[in-house]
Amino acid sequence: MRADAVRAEDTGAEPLLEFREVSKRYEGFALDGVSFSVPRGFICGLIGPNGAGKTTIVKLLLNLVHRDAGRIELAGLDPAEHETAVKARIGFVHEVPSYYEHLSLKAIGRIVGSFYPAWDGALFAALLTDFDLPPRARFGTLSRGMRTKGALALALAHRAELLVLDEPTAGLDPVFRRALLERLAGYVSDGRASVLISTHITSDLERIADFVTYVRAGRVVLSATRDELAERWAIVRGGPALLEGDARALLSGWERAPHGVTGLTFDAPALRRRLGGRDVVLERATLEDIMFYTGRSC
Amino acid sequence: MLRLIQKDVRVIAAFGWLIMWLVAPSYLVPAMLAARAGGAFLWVNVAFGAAAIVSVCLLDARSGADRFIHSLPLTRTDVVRGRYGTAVVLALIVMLVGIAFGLTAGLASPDGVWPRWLSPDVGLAYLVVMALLIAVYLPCYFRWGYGAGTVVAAVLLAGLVIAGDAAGGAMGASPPGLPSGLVVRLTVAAVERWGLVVASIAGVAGGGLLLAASAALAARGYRGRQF
Repeated sequence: MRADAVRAEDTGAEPLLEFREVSKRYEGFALDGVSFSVPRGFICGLIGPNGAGKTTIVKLLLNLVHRDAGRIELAGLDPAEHETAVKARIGFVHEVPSYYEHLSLKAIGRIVGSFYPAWDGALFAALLTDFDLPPRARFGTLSRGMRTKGALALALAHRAELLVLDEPTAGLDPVFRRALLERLAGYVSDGRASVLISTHITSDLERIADFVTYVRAGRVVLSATRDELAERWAIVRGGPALLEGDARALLSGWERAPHGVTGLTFDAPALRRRLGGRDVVLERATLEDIMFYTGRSC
Repeated sequence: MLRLIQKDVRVIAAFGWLIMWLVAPSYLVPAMLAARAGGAFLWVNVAFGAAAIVSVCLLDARSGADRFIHSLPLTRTDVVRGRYGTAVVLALIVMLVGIAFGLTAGLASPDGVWPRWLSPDVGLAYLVVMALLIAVYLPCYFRWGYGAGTVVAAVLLAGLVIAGDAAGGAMGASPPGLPSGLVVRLTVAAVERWGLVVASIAGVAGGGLLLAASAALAARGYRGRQF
């Protein structure tokens, strides 16, 4: 298993968000030396099982919890030292958006807009129309999917440099889910903004994420570009020879199947070379495969 | 801070119809019984002032708006100062409503005598009581959250009320038409001794200092919290 941290420099783009060796200790759980970057103009997916530490990472960024060690920077600013300036650059959509239930979206927009210098009321109104949201409907009467749409409209309307979405697609119908992903891809297309999506619905990320950072048990298991994942990570099926010698060292996880062994390799080209002409099949690994097999240590 | 006060006022203003239905009868009862129960008027005002302040905190807690507020470009100190500002504004609004009802009751008084409890010194006493209430409640709210914070503050305030009433009682019988309690007694005595202007300046300055110290304590407690 490896934990390569992809740096923004690798892409040639300016880093918008950086986590460097960030640690946070709770009773019974610790986020341990987390490092990853989100370059400007890219979409980064943060994946991991429940309780892996994804929400803690988002909370650290929003200064909701205090880190024990490490450095966090958004556009060169530490959220603990420049809280206002950092939050002005962030648009946050929580898994279960919470606003005043008795207020309409229009009223909530007026309140939220007063705090952001870059708030665009016309854009907010247009987004409500685009998302089929009734501006005068009380927030408490909206379905979960509509609440997420409303929260997204609020986040987009202040032209955030970094959109942080925590499980955004849960509760959304498939049509809007697809539309949302397209909108996010469009949002970063001018290279000004980035998106950080924390989710365990990995199929969404496979469509749009440029980077994926996988967190498990408080540690970054991998942080890589989508292309790198496609080139190097693969599902491998074969006989017991897979578990012999050098080949086994190239597996992140494996399990015995009825007709042999199925595993996940983090270096498909090297595994191909090692196994030569032996009877093995390599297939493209999905993010779900990566999450599943890296949870099964050799 | 102004934007946070505006936010809070907008949030609570949506319940304006409920407040009006509740406020009018509640003020009318002591107003109608003013001759016998004029002292209750001050405490009706204090009760509504406290309810308005607690309601704003309750609305945040009930809707989970804490999370939304934390995502706004604000520091925790900003949030604390905004809520103190809101509390003072609400206390003043309630005072104005009380004055309006009091004046109506005074003008409608059948014997034509202006009630003693409808006077600037009792108004000043209301402001001092509200400053004390805010100074105790908000640090508890910011340190322990709505649920536990409100309970802790209620216990502390109950202790203060009992102690204040006992101390006021120890000063002898309350002047006719005035509510009992230490703060009222001291405020009325201060106005008698130094005059309304000096006593008001002293009362407002003292209340302001108390609120500033309380806000600093609340901000410290709030900054230490993790969500």
